[in-house]
Amino acid sequence: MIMPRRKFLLLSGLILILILLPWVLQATYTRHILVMALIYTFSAMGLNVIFGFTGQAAFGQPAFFALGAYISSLLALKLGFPFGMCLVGTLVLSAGFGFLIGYPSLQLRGIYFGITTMAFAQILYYIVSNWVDLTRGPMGLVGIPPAGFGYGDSFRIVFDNELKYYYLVLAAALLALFFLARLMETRLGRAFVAIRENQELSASIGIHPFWVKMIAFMLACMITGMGGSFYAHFVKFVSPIEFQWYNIGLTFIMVITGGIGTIWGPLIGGAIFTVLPEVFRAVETYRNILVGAVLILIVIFFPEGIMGKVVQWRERRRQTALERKNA
Amino acid sequence: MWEATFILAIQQIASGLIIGAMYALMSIGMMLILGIMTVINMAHGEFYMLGGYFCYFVMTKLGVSYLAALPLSMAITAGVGIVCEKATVRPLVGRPWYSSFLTTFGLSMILRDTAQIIWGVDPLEILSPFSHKRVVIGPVFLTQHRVFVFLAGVVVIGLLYLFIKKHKVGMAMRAMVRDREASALMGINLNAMNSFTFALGAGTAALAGGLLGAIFNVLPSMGELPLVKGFAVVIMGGMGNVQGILFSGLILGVAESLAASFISLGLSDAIAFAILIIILLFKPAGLFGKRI
Repeated sequence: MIMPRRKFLLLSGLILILILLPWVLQATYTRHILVMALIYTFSAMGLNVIFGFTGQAAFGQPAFFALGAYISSLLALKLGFPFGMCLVGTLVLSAGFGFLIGYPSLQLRGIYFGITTMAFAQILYYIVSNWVDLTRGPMGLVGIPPAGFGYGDSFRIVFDNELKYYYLVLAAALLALFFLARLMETRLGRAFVAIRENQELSASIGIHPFWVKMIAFMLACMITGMGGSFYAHFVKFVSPIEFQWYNIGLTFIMVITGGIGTIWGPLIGGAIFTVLPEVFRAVETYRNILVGAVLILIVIFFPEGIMGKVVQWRERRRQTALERKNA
Repeated sequence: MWEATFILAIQQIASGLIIGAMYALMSIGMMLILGIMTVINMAHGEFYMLGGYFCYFVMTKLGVSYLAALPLSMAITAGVGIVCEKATVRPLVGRPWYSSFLTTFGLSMILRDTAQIIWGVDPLEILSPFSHKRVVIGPVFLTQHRVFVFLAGVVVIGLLYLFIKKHKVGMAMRAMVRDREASALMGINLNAMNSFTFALGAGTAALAGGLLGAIFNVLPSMGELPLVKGFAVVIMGGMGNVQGILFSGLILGVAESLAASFISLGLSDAIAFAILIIILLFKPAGLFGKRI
């Protein structure tokens, strides 16, 4: 990827800040929130692929987070898979579920697509809460082993505290972000955007909307599921509560606050809306009311999001520079 | 043995029809709001919840009878609906449809937690005068209240059907489903119609809340399941089609209560969505569907 010098400096600065952040905020509690913020970023990144880039508002995405968490913990608990295998298994199975759910849902468009994915999210919730033999139902899964890589006992890294886990998830999140940034410069990535802007027109120039949307949907499910896997091995407990409604709105607002269809938006939005509920924890009873109010205000008054504003500002600067040159 | 199963099935069908009528009553408002305003109203379940609470408080605080409390709570909830529409939907004219999904989602969080703070989490029981009298129809035993719920639901949906078909305002609503701009040019006041649609939706949801609050209980989170079931019914019925909504609601109610006794109690809630997906695969425009 060839990038201008200034952008390169900006990016390395941002990454440096992210690397140093847990040393500024050293308390276990704040480090815990940092890790959670990064984990929820995956949810936002996944939604950004299908909703931000491809323009299909999928309401099932947060259920894929929970699904990823369940798949990963079940692979570890029932089959004794090591963490690396759990992660790969989660990616493969999430893609599989994405295909099964995407196939009927993507026949529809707009609102109807959204409602259908919501229905699937509900079915997953009921199955997970009722299949007690496999998932222990509402009691949830406990004793999920911590994340670790290695072979045998001698070459083994276990990510058993907040700091180590932060770097693990940060590495994965940055990898995913760079993968997405690259992807958006390929033919496929441009096909995503083409479908968002005008599905009929994109079909007329040889893009197959159904299958391109399917790829975006499966990709979104994989990224979101990966976040779920990281969540399970960090919190070491998953229950059907992870499927709840609240998360659907929250994931959307992460993407919107960050900036719809921007690469870095989900990271920023994810961080803000993981930290904000924690700040409001001081007034626990009013927390949902405050989060709800912030949500409404952002959608009404700040729909471009932070990265969207940055893009607008950059465009305007380029415009004035151009005008000055012409004058 | 066979006969006992048969009687159980009939009993379940009867109670399914009652719940189904309420699903239909919930979904009518959601369908109107979706069709006329292109808004997925995520706070609809909260209107249902408010209907239950207002009904309870009008009865206990003002000492009004149940039959008078129902329309009163409908009116109050409709007023709340108008205010909510002004605050969360009106500012979003010309924005993509998911914007209002999100603001009404935020609204639902606010309403639910406000209810929880003011009224607590303990379930309240609405006392219906018909609750303790029995009705026997052949092999089926029901309370009078359940029969009342079914009749009230069907009558209100029938009235709505006539209203939308015949009345001038109903005709304006249908025109707006077809083409908003053109109907504005014909002199329809879009803002007033949006307020009216929201009030109508909130009112019917409140009626369902007041009616079912006497069978189940009234509590802050009671609106969540009816909301998601409501969406299933809206899609099943096909858009812009009142009778379709009624039949889909009834089908869903019956399928669920049969599934609850013959398949699994826990999974009965998933039946709605399984049916929904099958319908979408084979008849994407809904069971009764011409999609507008």
